[in-house]
Amino acid sequence: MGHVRTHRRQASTSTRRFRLALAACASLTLAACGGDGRGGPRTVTVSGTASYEFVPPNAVCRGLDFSAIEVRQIRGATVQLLDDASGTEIARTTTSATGSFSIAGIPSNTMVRLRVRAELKDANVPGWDVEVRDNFIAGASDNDVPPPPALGSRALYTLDSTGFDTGTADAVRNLLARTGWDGASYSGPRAAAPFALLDMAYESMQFIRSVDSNANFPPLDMFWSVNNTMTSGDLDITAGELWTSGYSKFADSLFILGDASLDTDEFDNHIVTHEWVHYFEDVLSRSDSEGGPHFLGESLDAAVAFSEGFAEALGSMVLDEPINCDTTVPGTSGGAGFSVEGNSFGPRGWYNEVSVATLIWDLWDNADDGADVGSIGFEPIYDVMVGPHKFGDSLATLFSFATELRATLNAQDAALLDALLLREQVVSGADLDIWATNEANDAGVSEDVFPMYVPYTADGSVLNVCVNSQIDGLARHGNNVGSNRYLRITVPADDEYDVNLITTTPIVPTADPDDRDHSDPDIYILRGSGPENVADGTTDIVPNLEPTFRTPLMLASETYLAFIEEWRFEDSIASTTFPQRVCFDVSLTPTP
Amino acid sequence: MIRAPFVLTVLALLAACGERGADSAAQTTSSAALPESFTAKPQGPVSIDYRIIGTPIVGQPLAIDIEVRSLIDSQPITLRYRINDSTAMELTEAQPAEVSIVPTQGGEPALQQVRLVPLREGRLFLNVAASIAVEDGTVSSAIAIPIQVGAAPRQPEQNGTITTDEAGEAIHSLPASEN
Repeated sequence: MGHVRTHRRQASTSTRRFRLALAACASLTLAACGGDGRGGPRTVTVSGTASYEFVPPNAVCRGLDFSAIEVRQIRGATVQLLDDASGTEIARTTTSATGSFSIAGIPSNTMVRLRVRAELKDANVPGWDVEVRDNFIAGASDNDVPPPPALGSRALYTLDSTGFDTGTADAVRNLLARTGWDGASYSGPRAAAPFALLDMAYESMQFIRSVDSNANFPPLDMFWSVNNTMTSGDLDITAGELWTSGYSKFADSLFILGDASLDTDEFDNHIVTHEWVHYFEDVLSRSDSEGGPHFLGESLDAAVAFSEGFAEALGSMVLDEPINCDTTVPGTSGGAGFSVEGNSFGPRGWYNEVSVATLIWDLWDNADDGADVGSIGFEPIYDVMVGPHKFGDSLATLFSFATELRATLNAQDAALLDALLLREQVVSGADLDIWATNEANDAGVSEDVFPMYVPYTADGSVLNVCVNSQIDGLARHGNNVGSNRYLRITVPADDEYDVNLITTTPIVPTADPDDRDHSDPDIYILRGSGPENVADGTTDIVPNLEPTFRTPLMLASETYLAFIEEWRFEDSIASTTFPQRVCFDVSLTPTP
Repeated sequence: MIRAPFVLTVLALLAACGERGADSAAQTTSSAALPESFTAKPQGPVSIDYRIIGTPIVGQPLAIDIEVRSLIDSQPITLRYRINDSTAMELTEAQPAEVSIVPTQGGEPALQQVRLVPLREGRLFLNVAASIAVEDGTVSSAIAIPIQVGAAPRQPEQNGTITTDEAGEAIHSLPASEN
């Protein structure tokens, strides 16, 4: 092979100068663009969309419909860009209302990964602070000594990308949290669930903000785990043993079931929003409910019925869907539902959460049906819930809600409210007041229901009142009509008062040394307009009475309430022969 | 006595939970005063309670009394027993997985007894579902009855990875599907 010589034409002087100038100019240009010496920009933008898979229920709530999975956006969540090797945060942003995110100024040619945190953070006022965490710790229990980590420090759910090179051009990375369902079971990571919960909180807060742009939401934790199962045994949050999905006032937290072999609630939107509404009641409005199990159509304590019914109604409004579904085992037709457009469970009345739910829904919705021939919208309802209903002298019941709401309505809307109250067999019109003074519907419990608030003057006189587990029976929920008794207390002077509570019903002890066969009366002294717990006597030290205790200063200008209960009505191991009806002598005595 | 176990549990688990909220939303008045509230999701008109008879022992039949109460007096109740982990326990040979019972009148519970055999130690669960036919379908309630056999703990399901991020925060990492 011969050698081939090539000839390069020698450039002219002017051409060489031009080339030098051009090279210099290019260098400057590269410097201004953050050139890395390899010919690319120093920074790039990483953007994308964060989404999650949502599984709707089948028709009539018969299980989840995995054939109809929807892709929904993860809104308002924190997105981190992390150094892939070290995990150090490089930058963070928040997804938009459409789930999009964009992070500029990212070093080019760098290995990074994206992380979407299951949290909503807005440190402004008004703001919010929601986190979805895993309450379950394998092998641990609430009863461990030392105790397990605090709930607020449990693992936060995140959706993580794989590592990628940012390269030299802007990059788009879309992240999707999948259900983990393979067509027959959950075989993959159940990544969508935490973000489904997060999105329900977002949706609920936006609904509130639609009528109150200044609504400020205190911190909320939402706990979920694939190991959260429903047990009738003792509650053990760390072990994932929950009574059911619910909200805890103590912890300002939701706990949601996730055990796919028994019952999952992460995609049961009405369940999640229902529990979110209890958070709303707790932090922005008011609930005097003692909680506990409750069944559709059951005759409940007035405060319990209102709280549950309001949660069902507002949850339905948030979702703009009257049918409340609760599915059970994924992949089956397990599940049930009811509609707040119609009461098909139990007798109508102030004690029936479905009556409360349908009434409040019909105040809001625009679909006319029967007595529901109008709509007042959500704003009046909201204004009452965060205003007079919250600070009223009575407990938070349908009576206080309806009375306060009625006072704000024009004649036409008041007539709508009255018609709906009449439909639900609740006193209405001029007979309506916060104390249920004129209510006659006693749920068939002939004793110990009315007057709902027994009047009492704290002058040392002894009042005998009774509680009645006729409705509750041996279920031992303690939250039914008659299970509790309320007093409306007038104090004659500013003073501290000694509270006495003694069981007067003869209780016959059984031969079983293990069953709790004595009376355990409890009393709470409340100031409704606070609202606040002034004092309480809830010990179980002495059988058949609550030891005398002294209240702090009570003011003659205030109205106080007493909530009296027989705790054996809630005690699952109480003797089965314990009386159905128990009476007490109660007194408040001025102190010298 | 208030529902002490839950209250004490939650109070203990709130310890050292003070970082959040200090500089976030303004203070609000908490709702009134009854402290023991754990508000639960609504349940269908059927309640299930149980009592385990005796001490669960591997290989030996165990009886559990089931009490079912229905707010719908006249409708029969279908009870279904389900064991998710077949290595954990099994129903006895004579025990059907599904039974139909007629509720008693006046709110008294209907009683059934289920018999099973634990096959290993651990915290095992028997799922019991009670269903009633109503006008537009069925309503059901379900519980998981915990059965502690020996001292071994429950075998948890896995989902993602629990780790600690650079800031020392506990993270439950779930993988994204990407495009």
